[in-house]
Formats: sequence, C-alpha cells, structure tokens
Amino acid sequence: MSAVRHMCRLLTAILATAVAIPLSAQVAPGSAPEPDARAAGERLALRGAQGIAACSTCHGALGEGSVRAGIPRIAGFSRSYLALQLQSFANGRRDNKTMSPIARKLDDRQIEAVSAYYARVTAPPALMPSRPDERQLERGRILAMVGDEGLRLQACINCHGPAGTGEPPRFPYLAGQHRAYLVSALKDWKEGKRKTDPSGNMNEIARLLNDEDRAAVAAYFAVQAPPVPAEERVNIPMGSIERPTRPAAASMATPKSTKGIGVEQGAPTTGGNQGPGGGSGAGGNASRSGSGGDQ
Amino acid sequence: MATRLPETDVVLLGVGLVGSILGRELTKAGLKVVGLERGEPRFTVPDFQGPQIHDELRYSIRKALMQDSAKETITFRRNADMVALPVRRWGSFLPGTGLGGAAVHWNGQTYRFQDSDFQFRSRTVSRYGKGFISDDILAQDWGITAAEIEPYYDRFEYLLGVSGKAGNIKGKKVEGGNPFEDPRSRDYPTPPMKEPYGSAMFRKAAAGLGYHPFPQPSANLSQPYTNPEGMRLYTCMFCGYCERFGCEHFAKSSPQTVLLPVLLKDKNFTLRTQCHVLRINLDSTGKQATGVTYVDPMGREVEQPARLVIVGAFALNNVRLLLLSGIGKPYDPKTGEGVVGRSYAYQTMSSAKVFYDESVNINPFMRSGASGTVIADFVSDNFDHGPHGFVGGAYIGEVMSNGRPIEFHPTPPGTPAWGGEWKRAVVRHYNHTSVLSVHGSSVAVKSNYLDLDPTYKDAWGLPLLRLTFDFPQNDIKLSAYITEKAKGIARAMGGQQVSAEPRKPPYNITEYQTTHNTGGTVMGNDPSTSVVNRYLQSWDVPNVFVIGASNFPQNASYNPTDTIGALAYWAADAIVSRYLKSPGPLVHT
Repeated sequence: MSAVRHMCRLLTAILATAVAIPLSAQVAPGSAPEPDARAAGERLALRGAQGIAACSTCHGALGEGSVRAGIPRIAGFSRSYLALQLQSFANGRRDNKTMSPIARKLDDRQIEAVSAYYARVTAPPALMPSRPDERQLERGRILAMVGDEGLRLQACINCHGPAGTGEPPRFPYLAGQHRAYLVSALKDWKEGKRKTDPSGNMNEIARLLNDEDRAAVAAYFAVQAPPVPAEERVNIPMGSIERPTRPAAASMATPKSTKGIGVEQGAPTTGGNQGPGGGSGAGGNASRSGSGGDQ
Repeated sequence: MATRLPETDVVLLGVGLVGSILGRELTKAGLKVVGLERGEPRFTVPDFQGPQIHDELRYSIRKALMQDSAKETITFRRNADMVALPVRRWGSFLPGTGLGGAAVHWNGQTYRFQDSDFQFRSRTVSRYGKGFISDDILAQDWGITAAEIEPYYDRFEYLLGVSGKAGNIKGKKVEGGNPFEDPRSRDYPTPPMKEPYGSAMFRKAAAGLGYHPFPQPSANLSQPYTNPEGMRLYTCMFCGYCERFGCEHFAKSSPQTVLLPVLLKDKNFTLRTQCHVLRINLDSTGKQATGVTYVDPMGREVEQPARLVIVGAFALNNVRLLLLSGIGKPYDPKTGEGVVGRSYAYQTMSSAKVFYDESVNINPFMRSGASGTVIADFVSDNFDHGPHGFVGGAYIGEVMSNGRPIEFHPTPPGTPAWGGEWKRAVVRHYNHTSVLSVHGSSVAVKSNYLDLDPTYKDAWGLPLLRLTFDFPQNDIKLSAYITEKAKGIARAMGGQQVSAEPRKPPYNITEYQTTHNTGGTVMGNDPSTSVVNRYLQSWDVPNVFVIGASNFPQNASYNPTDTIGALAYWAADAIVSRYLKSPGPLVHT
C-alpha cells in the first residue's frame, strides 16, 4: 500500500484521472439524490412507513447496528451496495428471516431512498464489550491481510480494500463491522444463504474457514476503525488533480502485509519515459507506432 | 572444486511450467527427481497478495518478477553486420525467473495451434505449390500432427481449467466457438469468461462483416474449478493486474495454483531454488549427459549427477544452456549448417484503436488477462494466401488486459507526446478507447538466429546469448494485410475515430511487444534441421530432453503456452512409456 500511495503522490493529473474514473464510472447517472428522496429516505429510516418498521429500530439512526444483537453496522456503505442487499433480501438471493419480509414490502423508490440515507451517515466506532485475546487477533490479522497458502485462502483485503476499509461501490467495508454479524455472515455465505457474489468466490472462501478462523477474522475486523462513508471518498472530479478530502479510514494502519518478491531491475523510472509500447495487450502508449503487444 | 552430490534419476533445469509437469509425471513413474530453479520460491500466499501485488511501478515498470538483467541478459543486433550490445533493461520481451516461471505472470491466453501450423511446410506446399515459400524462409514441419497432440492439449487444458467455448467437438461444429479449430475431444473444462463491453462491440462488428467471433480461451477462470490433481481454483475478479503480476485470487492457472502443491508433497521430488545451472555435463564420448553443474545460493559450485536431464527453462535459456554445454551443432548462418540457435522466431504484433465519444465507457481497468473476443478468420491457413504472397496469419481481437495508470494512455494520432495537450487528451480518451490486438505469426528465416556472444559475459563469466533479429519481409506483408482487416472491424465498431498501423521494421527491442520468443532448439524428423526429435529428445545426447517454445520451428498465430504445456505432457508420456523401458534414442535415422 505504501508504494501505491507513494506513487499516487508522484503522479499528478494523469493518475488522479485514472483513479477517479473507475470509481465515478460505476456510480449511476444522476449521482446526487434529490433532496426529496433524501428526506424520504431519512423518514423511512427513522420513522418507518405503513407496515414497515423504522430501520433505525435495529440498525440505529446512524446505522451503527448493535454489537450485542449482531445487527450489522450499515453506516456509510455505498448506495448501490445497500440497494443491492435490499433487493436481494426481497428476491431471495439473500435469505434472512428478519430482513427478507421487510425488504419485500419496499418498492424501488423506497429502497433507493433509504440506501441514499444510510450511505451518507457516519457512525462512531462501536465499543467492544471485551477485547479479543491477542492470539486470536493475530490469526485474524493473518487471514485478513495475508491469507493462508495451506488453505488456499486469499487475504480478505484483496477485494475488501486496504485494511478492510471497503472497495466501494461493490465491496463492503469489514473494518469496524461487528464481530457477531461477521461470524453469521460468513456462515450464511458458507451455507449458500447469500448468493449475491456472482463469482461464487465468497461462498468458496467461507467454506475454507473453520469455526476458529471465522471467529478470528471477525474479531480482527471488529477492532479496526471503520471507514468514512463511501460517498465521501468518491469525490475526485474527472480530470482534476484534487485529492480526496478525507482519508479512507480515520486511523488506517499501514497494513503489515508482505514485502513482495523478485528483483527491481534498472534505474528508477517514472511513468513518462516508458516510451511507446508499455501498455501490453491494451496497446499502451503506442498511439503513434500503432503497435500492440501482449504476453 | 565442485561438490559432487549423489546421483539422482532426473534433474530438471528450471521449475516453471515444463519443470512442474515433468516433475509430476516422472515422480509418478517412480523416479527420484531434483528440480533446480535459479530464482526464488514464491507462492500465492504470501507473495502475490494485495495490496502490494498491485504495485504497477514495481512489477510492471521495474519488472520485479523478471530475470535480473544485471546478472544475466542477452545481447542484441538487427543483422550480422552490426555489433551486438547487451540489453540492460528488458523491453520488447520479458524473460521470467523464479518458481513457476513465466506461467506465474502470463495473461492466461490458452490457444491450440492448428494442424496447418504443425504441418506448416507440407500443407503450404500442397496448397500453393513449391515456389510459394520464399527462399529465405526456413519453413518446417514439426514432426507431429494436431490429431496426435490433441490428447495432450486436452490434458493440459483440464489441468488449467481453461474457460472457453469449443467450436469443433470430434468433428462436429459448435455454434459460438472457433469454427476453424481442429477437432477437440470435448468442450473446455469451464465456460467462457464474461464478455467485456468493448469485446461485445467487437463481436457485433466482426459478425456484421461476416467474420466468426468467439470468446478467447482463458486460464483466468470463469468459475471455481477443481482440476484432476485435486487443486481448487477460484473465479477471476477482472482486477486488471494480470500479466507481469502474480494472481492473488488463486484464479489464474500457474504451476503454483494447479500442480506445485501436489508435487512438493511427493517424497521423490526435491526442489532447490536459487540454484543457477552453468552447464550440462557430458561423458568423454559427448553422447551421454552425466548431470549438471550449478551454483547454489551460497555461491558454491555443485555437481548434481543424473541419469536424465530435462531442459525446461525459458526458450532463450534453453538455447543458451545447450550452447554452453556443447550439445548439438551450433547454427552457422554463413553455411546454413548446424541447428542450435537456428530458426529463432517471434510474433508480429500490431493494433487498431477505436476512439469513442464520452458516452461510451470502456472501463479498461476492469479486465482479465485473457478476457475478450477474437476472430480466427485470418489465423494460420484459414484464408487463401494465394493472392497475397505471404505465409502465416494473425488473430484479431478486442482482448485488452488492463487500464493501468502508468501504462495505459491512449491518444488519437496527432496528439503531442507530452505536455498539457497530451494530458488533456489522455483524460478525454482514457475511458473511451477500445484497442484491438493483431497477433501475428512469425516465420523463421536464415538471417535470424541465436548464438553465444563473443564479447559479453554474465555474472558467472559465461558468454551471453546473442540475438540477431529483424522482421522478415514475409511478416511485414502479413501485418500490412491483416492490420488493414482489423482497421475495417475497428471502423465498424462505431467510434468517432480509428487509428491502426501495421508492424514495420526495424525491430525495436526497447518497445514491449510480446514475450513469445521461439525456436533455437526446434523439433522435427530430420537431424540436419532440428535439435530434438519429435519426442523432444536431443538427437546428439539421448538422455537430454529439451522442452519449451524453443521447440517451435516457426511461431504460429496464437499464443504459445497451450502448445508448450501439451508438448510437456507429450514428452513426459514418451519418456515414461518408452524411454524408461529402453533408454536410448526414441527415433532412429
């Protein structure tokens, strides 16, 4: 991560663009919800509607969830992630006896509105009833940050973002999520009660974890600082050289990951002097030579 | 003085794709096998995990997984009148190193060559007549047919779990697959990958022009898969960091993900990493190898006696090892005699770009190493070469593999190469450009070859390999014709502007093109034009087998890895079922 960040600082306009586009390109047109919709979302979240309990009854006004009851923290998940979960509860791709009946009562506009509301709220980190033991935390850290070759298990952060702070809009944050919820979510993945990963990888991964590893990885993420809302991170206008206004996490530790392998040949270089053809199968810089390449 | 170790049955030179397959097959046959790998050991966990593996600067620009050119490189010149100079930084191609070899950082494009590739000379002559192939071209048959090698392709593809769509199962054409492929015994192990948007537009345009688009066969998997070795692979996430990187998801087939965990558990197998082989040792007759001498990680010379030597390094290093060991007669371009280093070939790459308006989002960062859609209408001998005066072909495809920020900066012709205008153009076009690849074959010609450099030496004092290469006229013609066809498809893809330029000489070794270096230890049925027989056994030293892209008598239109894997299984089968029963030449002349 540090190398990537360093690179970010080195490169200006071009890199900012390249980073910005992947994020902004995936946000639906008409990005900012209308004030009416936001108000509707807030009403639904805090007061409910006819026949629909207020979300805040369980998830809290700030989306903080409940440590004890194992109710997930939903504050600051991306709108599209939240909406997809509600749609999935309704159509059976997520199977949950509390959420499925509620989701079935929501229409598309209500789903959009309440997702927009919780995508923008910030909840404080939860207070842990007791700190997990260090051995368990260390096992959790290894699974989260590095993986386990013997199990053929990859690190959680490969998809869930550096230090588990999420890779919005699609991949939810795990850092700061409640332990009991993470354990039950992993069980649901394992048992096929969640079918929202089209790659099937989450189901596969959950099957590789035994009870102890599930508990360890959940404990590790539960004691990490949660990130700021996804929408506050996706804020670099296309083509600008601005940087994000807030870092991804309030206290994001530098991942104690691996150092990598191999040699770094040649003199230090910057992106500018690669000459034509650096871009491999994508055709690279070779706008004038017209050359393509692959490996 | 070298330390002499106890004799082993087999020694592997290189533990990459070939070494892993041979190691597995020969230990299964009960032999004791020592694998010598000059690079580092490395595994999916912890070495390829995020976020560090997505460090474009480290892996793609500084080429962290590639052979260390400060210790060992090649020298290069375009023709025999020039003085070759050492390549200090890899450019045009990237020789890998380390456990798993280049199959760790490949893209996963997994194509079979066609029968018209294997029987290149005889089928060209029978279709177009004897005079059709120009005199400077060393067109040769491989000594095998597509039907003979099919079961080995099949085995290798099921090892990898390749995601694709068959076009011809046992002679029956299948809609949606490659209609030009030779019969395969069954469908791919997993269905094709998801088709990216740019590829879908290519498909529509190509089909509209009467071509036959099909999904690119990919060793980045479309779904979880358990291979016959019991290894479980997972689904590719389209992360855009495939070639030049290891895969963090266990989704790209590599020795680490498909075979090594099983092999390393075998008590008959010993892996020694950071062991750099200097030479294969021969007995006093020069007809029998006695083992190898290598430098261990402490810098000590070690002799490993072995009854059977498998040379399975990168193509260029296979050639160099034979030259350094005095196995086979080196090629002399002046007389045309000799075979080691002869028939070096490459790949003739070009591209076409489609520049769209800003409403079309290509999302180039959301790609797999081998996703995309291609046509084989101009591959190999799938079209009439008669009017064109060249041999060979190319596939055309929208097979973009990444949109990485340092490397991918598409701009239309006429854009300045730097400055504010360039930056604005990159911003404008980054997400709205689709690139088509034209992946062309390469003929071997008399003037392109490999030998030992007379001046420059490696870190161990041994001569570097010298590459003498420029693009043959045949391939320039090929590129001109097929790039124009690609441009026609690009125009039909509905962009605002199209650019395309065919490959032109001179060959530029500093510009990345492809790591498909072939030839130098070619296979065949005639010892005067090949280094190894059809079972990849040295004609001169029968207990040495040389396996890799160095066996290709010329390079075909498709990517080479599937054929290397198939040849590895083919040779392993010949060793186990025939050579071990009666060690000695498998082919008599």
